[in-house]
Amino acid sequence: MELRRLGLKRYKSFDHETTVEIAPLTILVGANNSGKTALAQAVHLLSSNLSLPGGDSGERLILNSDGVCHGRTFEDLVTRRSAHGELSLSVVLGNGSNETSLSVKVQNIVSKSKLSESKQQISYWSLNGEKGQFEAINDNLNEQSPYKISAPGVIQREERVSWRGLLPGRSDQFPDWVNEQVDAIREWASGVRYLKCPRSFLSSGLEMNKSPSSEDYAKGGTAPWVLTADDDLQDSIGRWYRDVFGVNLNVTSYGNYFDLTVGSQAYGTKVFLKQSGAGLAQVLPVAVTAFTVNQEGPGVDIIEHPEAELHPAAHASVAELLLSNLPGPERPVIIETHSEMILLRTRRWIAEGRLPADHVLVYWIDTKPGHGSILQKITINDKGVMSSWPEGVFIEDYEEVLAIRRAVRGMEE
Amino acid sequence: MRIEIDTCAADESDAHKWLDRILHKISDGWHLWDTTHSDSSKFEATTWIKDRGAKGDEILELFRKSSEREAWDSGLHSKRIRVTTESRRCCSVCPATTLRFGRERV
Repeated sequence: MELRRLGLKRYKSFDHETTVEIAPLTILVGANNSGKTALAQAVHLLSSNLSLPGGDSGERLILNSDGVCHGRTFEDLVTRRSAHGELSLSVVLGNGSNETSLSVKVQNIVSKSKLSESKQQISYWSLNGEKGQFEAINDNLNEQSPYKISAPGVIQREERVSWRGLLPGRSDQFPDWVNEQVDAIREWASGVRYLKCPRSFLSSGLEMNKSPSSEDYAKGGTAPWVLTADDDLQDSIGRWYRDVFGVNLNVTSYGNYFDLTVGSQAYGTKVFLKQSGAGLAQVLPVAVTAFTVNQEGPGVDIIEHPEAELHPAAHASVAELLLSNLPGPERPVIIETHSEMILLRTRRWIAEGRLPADHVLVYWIDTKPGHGSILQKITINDKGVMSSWPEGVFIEDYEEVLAIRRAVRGMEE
Repeated sequence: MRIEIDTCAADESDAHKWLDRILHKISDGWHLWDTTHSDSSKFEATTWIKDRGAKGDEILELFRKSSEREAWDSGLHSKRIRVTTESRRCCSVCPATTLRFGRERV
């Protein structure tokens, strides 16, 4: 299964129904506070609640998982933080020519006796695939009441549903294809990873035998251990650091502990990676993800600001790293970035025929008064030319040069 | 308006004062310097840039920034003229006439 589209409604700043088509490389750009991170995190919010292990936790939406916090309460997820808000999320997953779409509405129910208490209920759940559409509806604002179940070839009936996050547990009452699709969605969702920014993973004296948890991945915390365990990976990443930054990245072991150090002729000595330039440490989890992404199964990799803390000249190298390791449609990479160079290098790869034009989608995210976040979908043709571009973006340095020219002319006149 | 400046115009010293004034309008943000069809190495070797010392450096900086700007074109300016000292071609005008056109924002 591969992620093809994501749908949002009344989610954070995305008040109106928004559909995001996903390409093997999906690039989110936009001003600060426009909704880029919210959009990137929506994939994680959905997937983390589609891959919950075990039985019914009673929580419909887990807001804090894998080291990513989506909000303190459900209200933080809903547009305008409405207390009785309803949030819609949907996803279209493809498998060859077949597509399965999952739509879910989560309703916040505030306790009548205690207004500070609220609970979320799935008010609408539907699965639409080649075998038809299965729906479970509960508009009673009471989770204990049964759901109205409808599916092709099944007489509409009422039934209690046991939920595991946003997916129902297996039920003999459901058609087999529903149970099978639910299992497949759960498996796909478990393959979604999210790398946050800033990444704060390094301490001194890393314990060799420690197994970092999935909670550590988001802040880049698994990278040192993945690197230490794989000599080939150390070679690849070491070469990349030498080529891009002119430094040697070393794993230095002592007993049951190890440290990551960098050395260069300029320093004359080794220093801890965490004490070197911030960008060198910030990019390590990105490099580890890029070099290992092709070993992962289906899922999605979401990376916030892969270029964080790096000099603009190094942005192109980060772009090269990501572009040369793109897995393809079965594992899209979604990046949120402010980097002009990452976009330029992507366009260059397309123009040079190194990347199919239809493997990239760019979304410009902006806000509109009274409307919240809006998306502008931008495609790139095989000449590297974009279908559209917002006026004034990435030409700030041009505007500065014009202003300097005007100032100088003012002095001369 | 997009203004393309031909290499031949940039190489003719009589045209320089007109080109400078066209550049003023570009630096005022009224128009864009269309560099898409320019051979940058030929253009950077013209007398307008090479023989004018610090002034030439300023022109060169604006030329290069305009080229970079082309990568992020929003398509806002659609009208286009070509400034040339060669015999008149379609959509081509001499430097002095360009300035007359360029006196208004388009």
